[in-house]
Amino acid sequence: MQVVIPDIALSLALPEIGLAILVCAVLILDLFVSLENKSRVGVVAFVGVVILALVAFGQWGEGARTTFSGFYVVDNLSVFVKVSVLLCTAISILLLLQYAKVEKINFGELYAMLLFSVFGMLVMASGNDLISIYLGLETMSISIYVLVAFMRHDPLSREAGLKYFLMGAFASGVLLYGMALTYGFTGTTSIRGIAAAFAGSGGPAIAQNPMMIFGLILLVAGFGFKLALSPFHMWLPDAYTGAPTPITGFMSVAVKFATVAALMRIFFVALPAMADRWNTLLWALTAFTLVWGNVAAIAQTSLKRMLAYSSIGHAGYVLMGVVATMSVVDGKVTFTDIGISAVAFYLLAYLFTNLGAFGMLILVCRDGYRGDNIEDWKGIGQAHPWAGMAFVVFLLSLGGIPPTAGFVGKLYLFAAAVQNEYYWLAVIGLVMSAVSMYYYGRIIMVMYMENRGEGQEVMSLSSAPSLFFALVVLVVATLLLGIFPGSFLDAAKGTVAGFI
Amino acid sequence: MSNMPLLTMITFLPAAGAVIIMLFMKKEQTKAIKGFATAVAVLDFLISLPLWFRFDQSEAGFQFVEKVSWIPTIGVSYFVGIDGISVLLVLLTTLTMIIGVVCSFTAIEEREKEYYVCLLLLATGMLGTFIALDIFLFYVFFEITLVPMYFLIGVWGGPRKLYAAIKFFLYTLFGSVLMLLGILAFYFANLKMGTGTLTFDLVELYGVGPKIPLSLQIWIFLAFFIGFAIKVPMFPFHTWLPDAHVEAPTAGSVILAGILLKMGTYGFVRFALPLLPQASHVFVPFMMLLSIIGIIYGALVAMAQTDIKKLVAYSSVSHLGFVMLGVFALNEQGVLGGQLQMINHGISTGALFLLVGVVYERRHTRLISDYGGLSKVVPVFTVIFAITMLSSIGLPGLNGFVGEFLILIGAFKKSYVYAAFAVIGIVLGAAYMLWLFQRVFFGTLDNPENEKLTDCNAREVLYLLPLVILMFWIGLYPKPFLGRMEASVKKVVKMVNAAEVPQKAALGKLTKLEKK
Repeated sequence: MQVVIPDIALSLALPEIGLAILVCAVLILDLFVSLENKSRVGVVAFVGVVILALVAFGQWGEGARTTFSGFYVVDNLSVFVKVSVLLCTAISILLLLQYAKVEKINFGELYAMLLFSVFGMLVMASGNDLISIYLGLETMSISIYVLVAFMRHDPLSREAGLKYFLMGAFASGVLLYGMALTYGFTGTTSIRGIAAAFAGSGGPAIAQNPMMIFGLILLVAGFGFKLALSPFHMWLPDAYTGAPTPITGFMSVAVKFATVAALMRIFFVALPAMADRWNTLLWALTAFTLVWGNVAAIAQTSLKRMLAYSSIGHAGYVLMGVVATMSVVDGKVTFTDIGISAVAFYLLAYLFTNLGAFGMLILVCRDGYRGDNIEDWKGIGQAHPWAGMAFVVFLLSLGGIPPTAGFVGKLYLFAAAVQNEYYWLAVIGLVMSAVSMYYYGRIIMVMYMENRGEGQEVMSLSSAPSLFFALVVLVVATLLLGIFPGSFLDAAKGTVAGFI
Repeated sequence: MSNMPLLTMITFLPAAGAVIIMLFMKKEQTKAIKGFATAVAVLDFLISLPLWFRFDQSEAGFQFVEKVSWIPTIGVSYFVGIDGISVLLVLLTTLTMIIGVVCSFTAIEEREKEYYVCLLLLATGMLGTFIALDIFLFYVFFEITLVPMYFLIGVWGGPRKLYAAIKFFLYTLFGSVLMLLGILAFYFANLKMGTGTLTFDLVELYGVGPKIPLSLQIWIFLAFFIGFAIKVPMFPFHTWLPDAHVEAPTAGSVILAGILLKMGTYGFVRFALPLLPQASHVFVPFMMLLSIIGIIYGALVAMAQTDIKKLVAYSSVSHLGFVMLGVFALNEQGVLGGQLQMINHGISTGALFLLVGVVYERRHTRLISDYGGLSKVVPVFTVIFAITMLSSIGLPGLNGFVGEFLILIGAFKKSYVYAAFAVIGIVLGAAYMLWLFQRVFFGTLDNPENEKLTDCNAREVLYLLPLVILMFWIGLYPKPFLGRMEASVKKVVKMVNAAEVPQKAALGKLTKLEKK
């Protein structure tokens, strides 16, 4: 038997290789650092991640290149996702440094697990084969189950981890079954190979086969679980509320990035032949998610839970961009650039905004006190004007009010929906963004317009420089993307190159 | 001098002032903050004066134009300029800002720093709305105004401030997001059927309207309608207004009535009519009906009020019904009258809210029944109130008359039925205002609390005086005002009527479609 050794361009996987080395370095370093000084491990992880983000950025704009026998692709979309995920990780580490000390979970493994999950995300972003995508997804998910349950002393966190694990494992199974059926019909796991099989002479028959349609439904449901689209969102409020807050922020952003990238690759590149079917399914999920996430958030009194529900709503917005990418012209399905670039830009805007909002929750955490109830925020606006204003910026951005990143992001999404004539989806999205201002506005109201009762003290803020630095970066980025979005929009537009 | 970005300076000076207050002034230095805010407002008014003097009356297009590319990826530019439709609104805004700042000196006694920051930021938002010639830019400013106003009502408002603030915010936000949908639909319609480029540039988009099929125009018009009608507010979208007015602090009410509501009527004239000419014609009966209901309903409800501020708030619904009646007469007199009436309403109703604020500050009640016979105690106040009230009624010689007269001519030219109903509104308007005046100022002075009332002080007279002067000026010699607006109004009317002829054929098609 002749063994053909494929041509492997290792340089394309440089960020992943670097990350693997970084994880090992963090684990080894952990052995030599005393328990009080574990933050140093975090600092090393932070520096490493920033360097890797720059390395990943270096791969931008060089067209689509595959390696590992086509298992792996580096194109602008994957680079965009990788840089964003690494950026999100870096900021999350800054948020963690303070939080881990307060909650007494400052162990080296925390940072190692975080980096493991990032490794999975990077693989997902570049996965060009169902198998590599699935491997990335599992690496990411399993690490995050651990991270969610990291506050072992807190029953809520343990419960959250268990719930997330059970539901997540189930969802992975569903997704895998969908992939298996796809493989069964097309005989290949390669993304391009599947597309070729559908484009071939037997393609139309496969696309009509009920079992293949069932497989497609399983794929949609599996991704629905991972992205927490309603009605597959049941695990999310508990998991998000129980997890350490920086991890909640991290997963609400980074997981969306990686999963949406994988979803777009599978649906847009591998399964365009079944576009009308998955598009209808996703349309319904989007509409339901938008409504459910935003309406359920109204009733929450815990800020963290409110943000958890709001992140369901935002998953709906992201998915709206995915749905709106498809356009049918003269009975022929095409994918338009505007949808993909809107998704990319919205995720970027959401990165800064949502991490900022969770950062505000971390800012008030003290020993045994989490300031999670909305009533705790009374009077913050007067006592801590700068912190109050930062929170207002994040909340307005979440609600999509100019001049913030969230506004431009939503505008771009709605533009995509209108251009490809998804008017009703746009109407639902717009109305729900007005609804969302009810609960975001309520936080502003509590901070500025309600006064503390006698003897109640206003919460004090943490003074950790890492946290301060992170929040300043996030506020500036949120406003920058809102006022001068030009170059970021161009970058988001660039993600389309070589993708479809 | 002529190359200076005058409009940009006018717009962003208040925001710059707000930032300086935020960064460099301590919240205990209330005097310094008040002084600084006043200085910024006065300076802003002064630099806006060249807009009055250097405005070319014969030019129908845009003047003082500035254009810089902003987000080229989606065709957005920072494009500002004014024409006859916006010039007076800009000037009214800068003037109202001075009044808004000065009238708050004693009325606002807590959290002054944040208060003046909000006021100044609000000024930037409003000015930006009136000068923006890029629809995207317009929308950004239109939305931005919500935030400071939300704070003004919610922090410094009356007993039900939280309810009123969130109602104001959500109601208007709901309208504007649907308007955004209309804007985007127009944007892509232009891409497909118009200039074929991605642009939000109003000047480029102005010619595009007639090329868009009527069925799509109607949908876009509906989206615009919801956004602007809530802002105006037209019946039946007016329910947020009385709450917001009653709970807002005096300056908030003045700005709300004087400027913010005009953003809705201005939106119709600037965007809905010229961009969607055929649809505008289709909607005339509908708009006229809502305007007339607004005029009569607003007046009747105003008559039944026991709270002076609420009465004035409902009178706004009635007056803005007049403005909309004029605008949708779609002829020169009507639109011109509507434009002038926007300014008039800003002056008269603004002054009424100020006057209510003056007595409220002294007596802490706004119930009509708590007053009576005030004319004997506070003569100066009574005189100013009388003039303002008469101007609001539309007495010849004062500003309200000119506007209402033009509107009625316009409406009559469209159909005498509209004018006939509108006249009822004028009669009712006179009734509730005169009745209010009678109950508050005449009669016996039976409440001993009222005997201790002090008359207007110098500061109060000072900020009311410019408004009174304007009432007489516009009433006696409206030419400078009408002259500045005329050319641009003619242009808008021409744009909206240019498409009238094909419209009838299209309407026929549409009715056929409906029959099918």
